[in-house]
Amino acid sequence: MANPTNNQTAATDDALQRAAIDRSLRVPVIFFFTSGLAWLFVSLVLGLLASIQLHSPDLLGACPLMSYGRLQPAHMNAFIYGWAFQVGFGAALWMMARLCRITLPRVASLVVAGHLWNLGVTIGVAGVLLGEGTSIQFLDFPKGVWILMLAAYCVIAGYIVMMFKARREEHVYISQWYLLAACFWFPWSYFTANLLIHHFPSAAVINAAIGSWYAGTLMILWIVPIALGTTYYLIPKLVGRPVASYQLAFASFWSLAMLGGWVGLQHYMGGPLPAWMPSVSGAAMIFLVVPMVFIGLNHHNTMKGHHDIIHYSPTARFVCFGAFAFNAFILLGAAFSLFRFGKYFQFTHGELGYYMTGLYGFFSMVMFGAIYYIMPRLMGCEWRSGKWIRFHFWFSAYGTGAMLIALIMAGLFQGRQAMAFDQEFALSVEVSYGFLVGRSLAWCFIILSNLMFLFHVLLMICRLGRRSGEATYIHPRDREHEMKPAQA
Amino acid sequence: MNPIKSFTILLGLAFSAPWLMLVMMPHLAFRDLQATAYSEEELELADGSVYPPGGAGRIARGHEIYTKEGCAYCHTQMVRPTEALGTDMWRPGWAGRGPNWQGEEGKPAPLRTLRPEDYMEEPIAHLGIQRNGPDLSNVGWRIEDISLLHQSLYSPRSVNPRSNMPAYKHLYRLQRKGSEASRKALPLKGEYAPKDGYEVVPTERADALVSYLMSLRKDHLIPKALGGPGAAPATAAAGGATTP
Repeated sequence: MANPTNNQTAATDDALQRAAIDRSLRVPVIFFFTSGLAWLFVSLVLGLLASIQLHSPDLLGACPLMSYGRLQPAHMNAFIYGWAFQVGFGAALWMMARLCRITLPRVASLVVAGHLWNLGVTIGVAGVLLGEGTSIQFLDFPKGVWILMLAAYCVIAGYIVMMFKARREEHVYISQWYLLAACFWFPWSYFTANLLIHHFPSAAVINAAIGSWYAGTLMILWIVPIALGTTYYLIPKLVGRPVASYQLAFASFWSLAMLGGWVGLQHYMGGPLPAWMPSVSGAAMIFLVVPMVFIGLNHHNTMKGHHDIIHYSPTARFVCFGAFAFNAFILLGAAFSLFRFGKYFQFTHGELGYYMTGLYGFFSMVMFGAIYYIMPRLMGCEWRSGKWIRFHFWFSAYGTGAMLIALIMAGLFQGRQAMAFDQEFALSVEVSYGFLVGRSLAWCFIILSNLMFLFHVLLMICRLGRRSGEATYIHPRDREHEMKPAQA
Repeated sequence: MNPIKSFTILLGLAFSAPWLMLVMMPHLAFRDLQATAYSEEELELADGSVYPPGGAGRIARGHEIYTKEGCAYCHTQMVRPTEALGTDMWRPGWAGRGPNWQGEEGKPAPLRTLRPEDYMEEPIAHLGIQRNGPDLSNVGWRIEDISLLHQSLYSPRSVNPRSNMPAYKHLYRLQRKGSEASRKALPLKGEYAPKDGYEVVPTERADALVSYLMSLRKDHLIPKALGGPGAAPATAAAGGATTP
């Protein structure tokens, strides 16, 4: 068997190979991270403005660009296509390359595709603000932009798939299942929805139904698998042991795959559609609790005895927060699909709360964790300050928590008041006023936290991170604690 | 078979089932939705000769403005049935003309849930994303004064001080008053009034949007051929949704 010297050479070879992979991916991954973060910032500002408009409609004057009906879709679409997709591309490319042990020889077309994607998002968001939106949730960009975006997407996802095809590692990891599946699902539903709605329309209500199906699949079959792929990569890496159970992972992956395509139409439950359509979607949303439990259990078992990493590792802290928020996201989706709760929350701020839990509390927090993990490896320097990371975490955590509570409570009050059919409808809008002010404050927290993060990332890109020493921790690492035997 | 190939095939199968059944089949099934002619005995109860009666060309332009301004982000066009989903049907004027409707003798005042045909004239049904303002399915019946509607689009707070609707001032034009006030000028008063010698008039876009809103009446009699009540008392169709 291998003697110590061979082991050492193997380890050095490994490290050299990893460094080569990181070098080859530096440009595209940093490109996607930075342009994603820029869009995140744009989107957060638009979200704050939209939030302010709801409780103080005259504060920003009567500029048509500043009306809620344009700001809200611009904010949501900038968040999803500008930030979530690009940071997802960056993380997926890097993880796939690492897991397949592939160095990318040429990245030019990847960067070109990235620029095209950004161009598409820019045209789209500007179009929505200038009054060319389509008012279909998450498909608000003006007609035609989707062709550009889909083309750029295919190039980027093509890289991910090609890396997998050329992989030098026998073992196929769970992260790879999720990343490949997301690459495969999104273009299918995006193409279908755009083609059918814009170019081969059916009856008006069916077009609307396809729009809401797309919104559902976008969340469950893109946002969720990309973030889950990342948690399945990072958690085992951080604790230094493989995922606890491949059987559980297998069961949760395939139950998500079977259920994910059915979701979305619960948004229109009680609508003028054949009643089975929203019912099937609602049932799928409720059944998603099953993979949620499996995934949570698996992550918990993988981390067992190593929960102290949350204390010092920035990545672990963000990823674990995201993994918890995933449960909230799925449980809210299931609750809103039941008549009992859905009748109060349908069409209220509560639904917005559901989306923000998934998009910010779950997806974005996991991605922040991934950036904290990936960036030092790409740039060859460590994060400057644990204090700044702590600031980013707490302001984000409290911000997203406060926003979720504000939106859910606003939705509950709004929905309950709307049931009082013998009272003025306007009351149901007014009862949520205080919570909406609270939401605007929560936005300020989130914007502050991300300003800090943006600054930190820019320092890293300029290679102004710490040059020496070990990784940056949020709190000093407690070595003694580590030596204790794992608690059951 | 190699495991990667079977992985891809299984992924495809798992997604194509909902894709076919939830998207493609309804898409094809509803593609050629047609207007239905009323039978002779229904004709005297109905508003037109076919269901749905159909709109004018200007309404399409209004729908486009409704789309581009993102009205659906706050207004639904979807009245939920009472059995499981609350009290939408009981709100006066939401599910139809309602009990106070002073119509012709003998015509019932229908209250009913909505059908796909009700949206047939539109390229896409704006069922709605949130409900921060009232439902608009039957708003055409509720508008009594068009100039008041214009005024609440131009300056919502001048009509209802507690409203949080955006002011759509860009759909209106400020112009110098002629020898006499324009017939279409908005009756703005107090702090909302334009400066002396000027008046606010709707542009063609505002007129189109208002025509569209006026056209939103989704309580037409459902013909018997579609399983509607025909000559039966129309309230029965609403699933017991009578106003208490």
